[in-house]
Amino acid sequence: MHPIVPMAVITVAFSAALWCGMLWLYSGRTMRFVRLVWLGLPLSAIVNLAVKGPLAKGVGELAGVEPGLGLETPVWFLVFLFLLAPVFEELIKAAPALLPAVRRHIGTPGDALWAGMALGMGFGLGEAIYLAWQVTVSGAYTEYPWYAFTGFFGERLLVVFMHGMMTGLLFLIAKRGYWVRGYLAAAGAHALLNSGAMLYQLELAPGWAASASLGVMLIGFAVLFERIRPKCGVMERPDDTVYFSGGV
Amino acid sequence: MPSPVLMSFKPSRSYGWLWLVGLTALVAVSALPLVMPGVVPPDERIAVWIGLAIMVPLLAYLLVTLASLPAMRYDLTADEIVLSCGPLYRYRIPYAQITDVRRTTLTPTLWSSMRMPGLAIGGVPYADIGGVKMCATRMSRDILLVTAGKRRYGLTPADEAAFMAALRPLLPRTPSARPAGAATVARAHGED
Repeated sequence: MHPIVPMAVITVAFSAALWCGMLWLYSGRTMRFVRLVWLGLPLSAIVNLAVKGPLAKGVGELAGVEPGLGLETPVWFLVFLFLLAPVFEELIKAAPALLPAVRRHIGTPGDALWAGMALGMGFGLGEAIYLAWQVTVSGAYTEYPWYAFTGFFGERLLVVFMHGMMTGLLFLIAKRGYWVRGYLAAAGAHALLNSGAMLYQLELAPGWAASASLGVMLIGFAVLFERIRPKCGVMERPDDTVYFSGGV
Repeated sequence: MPSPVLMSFKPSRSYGWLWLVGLTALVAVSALPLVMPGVVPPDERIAVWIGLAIMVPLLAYLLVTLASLPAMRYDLTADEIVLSCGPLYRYRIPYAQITDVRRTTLTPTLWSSMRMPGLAIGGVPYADIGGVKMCATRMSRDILLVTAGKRRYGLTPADEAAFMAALRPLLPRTPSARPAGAATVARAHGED
């Protein structure tokens, strides 16, 4: 068994428990939106195997660009590769909204945020499984122990939430009547998120800088989440049991 | 000199400590590659030092907090409520400053704090009411919220009725229920 497998199992189980728990709690302690997470699970494998992979390979062959050239790769092709993920992943993450069963979940802008987050989180969890499978079939990194893959754990744990946020943002803006603006916001955030990893792969930034950029993006997404999520009322709530009120 | 303790109450039981054990194990496992020779490339030594500078104090903090949990308690003295949990957490709430005591459900935010299902200690930001000093074995549901001046404290006594029965005579003598809470105030005081 490839050593990434135990870490992938821990990653997916922990991420699912943490982020589905968060979704359940914030959406009003309901499973209504958590159930949509399943729909996102296969989407990463689909978009990678059926869209991004063939497109990158096909366009590269047509243009005569060999893989693995690093900085020698033509700039236009680098930009093309860089845009593949934001453009197509944000599109396929939103695709389940075409299903009437999903649209029924989206009554208010708040509902749209939670439904989008559920689909995005599902995509993120599926992406973790897909990436672990890719590493397994490649046969790379077999010399490392399973606990050496904590980088995979940390990155995927955060990325699941970020995928949720990007799709949630798309759905929220779309619910207000601006589909294109919502899509551009999600794809733009996705491109920004991937820029650190892209610079690292091109050897233009060290690994720790790419990780730091992920941390900065996480804080940005957390700030955004706290600003856009529906808030419940303050102190005076009918179900409170008031023991003492008044005093000095 | 602090007043002698009149009565002491334990928090309700929870399995929140399991989350803390898991978190501690997670941090410890995450730190393992940093100290294993050959796992981190030589040109990324700085990452090892940055990682250790974060992980070691975090691990120490988690272990001390974990060891402190059995000591969590709520003491009533002649002048104040003392919420304590080991050497790291101790909050004193003078009775004279208390303006509101209610059982409520709070909504946590995403911001990092020592709160997880079944446990909340230290300063915890909540979406609906802002920062609360917690010394509780629940994160959000059925929290006994004590407001004293501009500060709020959250606790979860195992025997809430006994705790309130002991606390009520010590509170300021001018309670005036606001209309929205009138019904529940009456129920809480047993006035049908």
